[in-house]
Amino acid sequence: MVVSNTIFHETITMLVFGMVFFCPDSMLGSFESDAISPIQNAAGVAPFSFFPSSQGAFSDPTIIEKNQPLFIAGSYNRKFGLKSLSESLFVIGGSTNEFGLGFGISQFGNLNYAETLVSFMGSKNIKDVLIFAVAINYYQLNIKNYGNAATVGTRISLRYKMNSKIESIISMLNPTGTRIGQTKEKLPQIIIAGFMAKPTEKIMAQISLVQDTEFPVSTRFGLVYKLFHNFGIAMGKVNQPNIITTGGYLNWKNLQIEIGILSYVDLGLITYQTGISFTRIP
Amino acid sequence: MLTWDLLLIKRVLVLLVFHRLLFGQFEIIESFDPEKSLPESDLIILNTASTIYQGLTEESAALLSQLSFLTDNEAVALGEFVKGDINDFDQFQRIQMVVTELWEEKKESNINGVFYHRINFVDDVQYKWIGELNFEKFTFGFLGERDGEEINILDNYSTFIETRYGENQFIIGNFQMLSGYGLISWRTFPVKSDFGTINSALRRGRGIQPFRSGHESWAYRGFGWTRNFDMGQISGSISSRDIDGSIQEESVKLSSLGLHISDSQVENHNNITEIIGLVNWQTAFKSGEIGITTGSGLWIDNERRKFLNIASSLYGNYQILNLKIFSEIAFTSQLKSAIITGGRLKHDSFYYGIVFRKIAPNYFAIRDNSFRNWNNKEMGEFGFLQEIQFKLEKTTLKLYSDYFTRQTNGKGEFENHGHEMGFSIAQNISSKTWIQTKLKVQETSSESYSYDDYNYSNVPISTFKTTFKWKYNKNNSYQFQLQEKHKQNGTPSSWGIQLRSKHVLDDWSIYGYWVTAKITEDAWIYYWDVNVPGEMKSKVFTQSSHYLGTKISYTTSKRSKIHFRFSYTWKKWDFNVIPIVRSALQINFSI
Repeated sequence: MVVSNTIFHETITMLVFGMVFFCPDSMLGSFESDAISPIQNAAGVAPFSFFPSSQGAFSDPTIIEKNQPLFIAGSYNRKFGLKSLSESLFVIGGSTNEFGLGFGISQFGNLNYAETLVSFMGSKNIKDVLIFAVAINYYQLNIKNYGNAATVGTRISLRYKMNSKIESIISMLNPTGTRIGQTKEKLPQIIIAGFMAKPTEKIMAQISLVQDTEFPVSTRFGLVYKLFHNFGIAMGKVNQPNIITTGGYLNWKNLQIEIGILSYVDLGLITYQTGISFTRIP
Repeated sequence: MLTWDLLLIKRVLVLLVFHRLLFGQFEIIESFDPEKSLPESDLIILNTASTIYQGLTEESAALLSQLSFLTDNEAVALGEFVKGDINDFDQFQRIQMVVTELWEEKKESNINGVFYHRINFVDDVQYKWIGELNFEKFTFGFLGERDGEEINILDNYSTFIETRYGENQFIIGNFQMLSGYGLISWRTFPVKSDFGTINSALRRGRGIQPFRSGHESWAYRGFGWTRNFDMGQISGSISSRDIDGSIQEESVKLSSLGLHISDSQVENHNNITEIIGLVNWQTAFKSGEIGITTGSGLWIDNERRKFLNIASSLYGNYQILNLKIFSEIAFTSQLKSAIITGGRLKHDSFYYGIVFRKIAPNYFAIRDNSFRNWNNKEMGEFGFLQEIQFKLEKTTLKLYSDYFTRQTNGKGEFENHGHEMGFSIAQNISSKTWIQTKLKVQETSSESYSYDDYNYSNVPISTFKTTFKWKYNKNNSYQFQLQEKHKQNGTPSSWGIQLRSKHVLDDWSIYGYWVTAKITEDAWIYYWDVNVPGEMKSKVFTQSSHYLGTKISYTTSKRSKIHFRFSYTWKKWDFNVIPIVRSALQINFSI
């Protein structure tokens, strides 16, 4: 039983690595795995933070503004439930009424293949309706026995408060086309557009479009329902790829624990992600 | 009998009842022919002015004066109104129309910037971002665009910073320079024969302007400067950038496609390096103006082929009582020349205008785009356009005629001569509800374009159009438009019917469109499409089809709106086909 499990995991790992190393143009490349918080994953792999969660600052620096200073957060998961493919995320930051600054680091892979992304984030609140954020990302790729490569990319994000219940989010990752390594492999260029809605105090919902310019557009929908004062559940659906998501959060004073579960329908694989954050959530 | 029947039908078509209603974005824009392209910059200017300003101010007047369809007099009137030299726009009805539409609704004050994010679902997804921010001392604008299936997010981008210091105007980034009457450097689109062409043809360039269009190769990129001296106005610009195009024997052909998807398109992206310098001087004297433009450009492509061109022009205009005449003559170092000249006689509500142009085959200056009918530049063009308009109490009559001939004698399928004419009648009943009777007839013998190739027709085509608008109440209105088009060779007519409605319910607006078109051969029918703000696409029906379109707008706050449009096209008369679905989402917000 142990042997068959090991073979299964190794086979999947090799397949994933195969997609990374020998990818044709339309296959996954490096840094394709999103480093987002468990609660975002639980609510339809939301590409932006729409629920108070410090970890979301890494993928969506506009919410640095919405966190109280100072915050610190981290999460860990095994991609597709594979022991040999781990993802981790750590972020720290703080803000004043007008400016926010953050620093984050994420890692993906294992001892043989590791992607590291270091992000320096800044945000600016304009007239209390628009938050403009920029992240300078440092990408490093380590492959055992092959060496490493590094490059710098950017992320630009806008969050606009359309009224008391709706916010609109626009984001571009690497808009000018960042490449890495001797083969000048193209890093993901992603356009994000979406809305978050808060129709009642207990419900928050998001609908978003995510387009990696080399793939068809991915539509995502999710919501978080606050069951009790400090406990809520989340669920969502992703189209392209086909993923059903669920999870929840529990907070106690300044601590928040998040869980995200992603079920890849076509692959038959599940990712469990857990995270913890320390912040004074407003 | 058939002829009399046809005449009767045409008589019925002549009747056009027209309430002063707004079905699209701007009534003045909708009055243009959907068969002809509109400068995107005009739409951006109108939307920006509408959002940022609350009325006519020095700044908003300066912005509106950049609209391509305004005449010199209208542009001047905007400034005079701000200064208090005139109290109303009674003599300038088009400005009155624009001002009313822009600031009819109460707008949020203290707006410094406007931003649009458009997601257009076609075969893939096209994205567009447009913004303009007004700071105290300068204006910053940007445009970014990613067409469907393009790899780079900012495949096309354009930014500018504009500032004024005393009598100086500076632009850094992407800009255009409008000089004379378009023989050296002009907008992305030339003036074409149509109702009101005289107004546009008479419009003299006013130097440098920010570039707001999505055209990927037209803008100058560098530094532009204009200053008013006692001796006149001097404008200068230096530009250096890469463009898409091809170097021909006697010219440089700029690509206006802007797509970078296929291997060859990607390979030829920015395949020409261009360096341009331009200087313009112009001064006013008692009854007119005179100016000189000279410029030089060097183009080098990826294969190191070079093309150098120097172009100069002399232009001027002169007012004699009610007659205004203008002319521009240009020469290039390729030994090509072009001349455009004409005049307009205006008295009260009557005017008559005439424009001659003679443009050498393969004439190429820097960014020339003067008035011409044919898009084909290789054969040159000589032509003259006449236009007359007069008002009889509440009825306005318009008539134009344009005759043009090519400048090469070689044989070929392309016609040697062309002719186009139009006639319209408009009737104004009252200030609030007005009825307009209009007849528009066009006969043409020139090129036409399909989606993926270019054709020309040697058979004249006549188009009749009738529009009926009905306002049920403040929040519900309807429009009906009938078109008939036929080739003058006895083939059956193409017919098109369009129904449009507009319904407003609190913060929601819903627009409905329905078109049924019966098409014969290549007598294609054009209608304005369902558009979100900033778009002005026309819908061409090349085969018998049915079309259903809807636009839904949600006003989320005084500063922001969400627009969504979708359409279904059945390209078969009997609906026995899967419809083609198109949609778009646009977010507008301001700060």
